[in-house]
Amino acid sequence: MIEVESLTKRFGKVLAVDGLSFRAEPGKVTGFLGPNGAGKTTTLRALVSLLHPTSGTATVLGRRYVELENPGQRVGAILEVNAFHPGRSGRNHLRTLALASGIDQSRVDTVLALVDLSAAANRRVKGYSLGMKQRLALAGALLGEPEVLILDEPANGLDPQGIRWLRDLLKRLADQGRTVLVSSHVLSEMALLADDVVIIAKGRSITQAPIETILASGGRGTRVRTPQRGALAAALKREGIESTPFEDDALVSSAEAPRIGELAAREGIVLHELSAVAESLEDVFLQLTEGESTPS
Amino acid sequence: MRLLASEFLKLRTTRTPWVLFGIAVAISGLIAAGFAGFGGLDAENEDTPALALAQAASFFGILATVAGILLVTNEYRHGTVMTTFLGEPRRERVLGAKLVVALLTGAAFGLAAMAVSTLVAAPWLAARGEPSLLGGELLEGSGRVVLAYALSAALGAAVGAILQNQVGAIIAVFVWFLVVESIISVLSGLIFADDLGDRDPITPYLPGSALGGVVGGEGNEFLLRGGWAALLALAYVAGLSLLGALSMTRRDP
Repeated sequence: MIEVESLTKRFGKVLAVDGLSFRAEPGKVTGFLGPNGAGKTTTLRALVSLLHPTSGTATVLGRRYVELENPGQRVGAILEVNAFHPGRSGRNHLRTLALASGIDQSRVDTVLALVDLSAAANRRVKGYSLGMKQRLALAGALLGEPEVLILDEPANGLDPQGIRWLRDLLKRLADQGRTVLVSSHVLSEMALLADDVVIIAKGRSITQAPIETILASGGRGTRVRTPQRGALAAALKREGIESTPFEDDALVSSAEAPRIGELAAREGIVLHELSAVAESLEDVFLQLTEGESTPS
Repeated sequence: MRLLASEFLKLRTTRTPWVLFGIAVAISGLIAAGFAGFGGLDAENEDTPALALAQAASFFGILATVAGILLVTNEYRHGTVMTTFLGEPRRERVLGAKLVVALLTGAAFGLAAMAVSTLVAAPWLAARGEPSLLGGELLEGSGRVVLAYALSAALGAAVGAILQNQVGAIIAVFVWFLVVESIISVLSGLIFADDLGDRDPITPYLPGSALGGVVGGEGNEFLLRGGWAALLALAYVAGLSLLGALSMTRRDP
C-alpha cells in the first residue's frame, strides 16, 4: 500500500509537486503517468525518504519510509537508471545492497538469473548497455522480495521484448499481492503495464482511474486489416457496429477487438490484423494533460 | 554491522582505493630511502631513527584523506548514494559506518606505509652500523603513524560528507593543508613573533599541524605532540563529522 496525501515539494521558486494525493493498492500495478517535468520523480523520491516534502505526507506500508524497519527487505525501488559505480561489477553491486539490507547473498544470483544478467554479472557496469543497467537496477529492487515496488521509468532503454517481459514480471508480482507503482511518460507503455493509472501534470493530479476507464473516455478503438473489407463492414453493420475505412485495406471501429474477431470468424472473413488503436491512447493523454505541459 | 560489511565490500570492489594504497606504500618506501640516504636517520639528529622514520612514513597521510573523501563522495558522484539510502534511510548511520571504515582503512594505510619504510631503512641502517631499529621506539612510532593515517582518512570522510562534491572536497583538502595552513602559519609568525618569540598561538592548533603532531618531531609548528595532538585532531574529526551528518541529512541527493 502506497499513500500520498496533499504532497507538496518546492525547490526554490519551482513548485515541483503541488498538493498531490493518490494511492496505490496491493495486488495491482499502478501506473504513474505524466509528461516530463510533471513531478513524478520528485513524488517517488519523497515516497522513499530521499527528499523532504515541503508539506503533506508520502507513506509506504502505512509509514514514512525512514520509519520502516528493514526497508530494504520490504520495499524495492528504482529511482535512477544509472546509479552504479562504473568500475564495480553487477554482481558486486548487488552484493553490497544485499549486505546492507541483511538479505541472504544467495538472492544475488537468483535475481541476476531473473533479469537474465547471469552471464554479464562479473563484468564491470561501465560496459553495460542502458537496457542491461535497467535490468540490473530492477534486480536490485527485487533483491529483498519486497512487498512494495516503486519503479521510476523502468521501461526506459528496454527493447519491445524487454517491455513485454517487464509487463509479465510486474503482473506476476502484483498477482502475488504486492503493490507495484510504475512511472512513465509514455501512455502506450502504461496501457500495457498498468491496472490503475494516476495521471499528473505540473505537480497536480489530473485523474486516477482504472486503465479501461481512461481508455474508454478517449473513444477506444480497434483497427482491423482484411482483404474483405466490404464484407466485414457489412457484417459489422448488421450487428449495429459502426466502422470507418482506414488506409487501403483496413477499418477502424469503436467496438472491442474480441467482438470483431468473433464476428469475422462466424462470417468466415479473413483478418490480417486486429489491434487496439494505440494512437487514440496518446490522444487521451494529450487531452487530459492539455495546457498543463510545456513541449520540450 | 550490516552497514559496515557493505561499506567494506564497496571499498574493496573498486580500483581507486587500491591504487591510492599502492601509491601511499610506494611513496613511503621512496621517502624512507631518501631519508636514510640523506642522513635523516643518523644518530646526531634530535629525533630517534624510529621517530624520524615514522615522520617520513606519515608524510603522505593526505592520500588516506583522499581515500576517505572517495568513500563518501563516490556515492554522490555515481548516484549509488540513493540505493545506499534505500537500504538505510537513517543517513547519519550511513555516515557513521563510513567513518568507521575510513578509520580502519586509514590505519591499514599507515601500517603498510610504516612497514615498507622500515623494510627499506633497516638494511641501510644496519650496513652503516647504526643501532637496530627494532624495539619499543619503533612500536611507538608505528602506532603514531597508524593513528595519524586513521584520523586523516576519517577527516576526509567527514569533509566528503559536508561537501558531497568529489572534486570540490579533494581540492578543498589540498588547498587547506598545503596552502591555507602555510599562509596562516607565515602570517601568524609575522604578527606574533615579536611578542611571544617562538610560541605561535595559532599554527599548532590547525588541523594539519595537529595531524602532523600525532607523529611529532622537532618542527616548530608541532607544539602539540603525541596524545594532545591526537586529541585535538580527533576533536576536528568529530566536529567535521557532525557537520557532515547535518549536511547529509539536510541536503537531499
